[in-house]
Amino acid sequence: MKLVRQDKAGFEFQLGVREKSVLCGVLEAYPVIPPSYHRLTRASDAPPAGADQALLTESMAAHKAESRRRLDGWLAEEKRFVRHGQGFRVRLSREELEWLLRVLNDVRVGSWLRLGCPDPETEVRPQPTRENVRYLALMEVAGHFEYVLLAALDGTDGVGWSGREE
Amino acid sequence: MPQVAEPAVRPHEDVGEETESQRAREPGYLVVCWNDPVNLMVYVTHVFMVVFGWVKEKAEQHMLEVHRRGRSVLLRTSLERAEFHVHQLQGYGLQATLERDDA
Repeated sequence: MKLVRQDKAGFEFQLGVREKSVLCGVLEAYPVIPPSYHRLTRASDAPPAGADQALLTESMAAHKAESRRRLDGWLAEEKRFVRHGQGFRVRLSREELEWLLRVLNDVRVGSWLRLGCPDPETEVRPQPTRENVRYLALMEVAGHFEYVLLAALDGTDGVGWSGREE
Repeated sequence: MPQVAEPAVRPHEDVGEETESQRAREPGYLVVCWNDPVNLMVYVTHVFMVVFGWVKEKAEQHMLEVHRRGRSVLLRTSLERAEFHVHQLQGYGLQATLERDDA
């Protein structure tokens, strides 16, 4: 997936055939983070009442349901991906791009949770099983697409470098 | 120690709505972002810029503090606003919480 044009209306990306299929597959997995994951506080003497925690859980569930509906409509749009050369082109407004970034990050973080929260620094390794092994790929691929979108927003290569020579 | 007689009629204790709403407006809560090994550093920076309207340098400073120290205090504010920002940040998938500022 590569940014080919950026103007006032938004961003245009070129994708290969398989790339498009992989992107759609990642988006289809959304949402992956369970609403119960979200905690309002870590304090043991939690200042907010239980109602506030319940509100956060409900709010996250509603947000994910709405985003899922939007995603279904977005993917079903007939001219969403337009044939171009050997692949496809897709146009995103800035708002759509920001929204897809959140969707992709949900898939990445949720996949990490399903894998047992692996952490290279503490040598907690992923715990793939027959049921969750697909989340290994989802986590990595969602991260890849995040980099592409962030790079388009930032005008860099996605890791913070502008690529311009001093 | 001298003892004081209990009044026959207790004054109305107004600890209900007013005190609660006063507490909600007091700037005594911290919005804290915690480190995790999954959120991309550039993504965290981007979220801070979007949510708080910070310039990239400030957002990066906080992102690096999260990464190196395990957490960063993003804001000291009222309970109401702290809850609002925690909802926003969690909507982006970050591990953000509100904590009482005991300092």
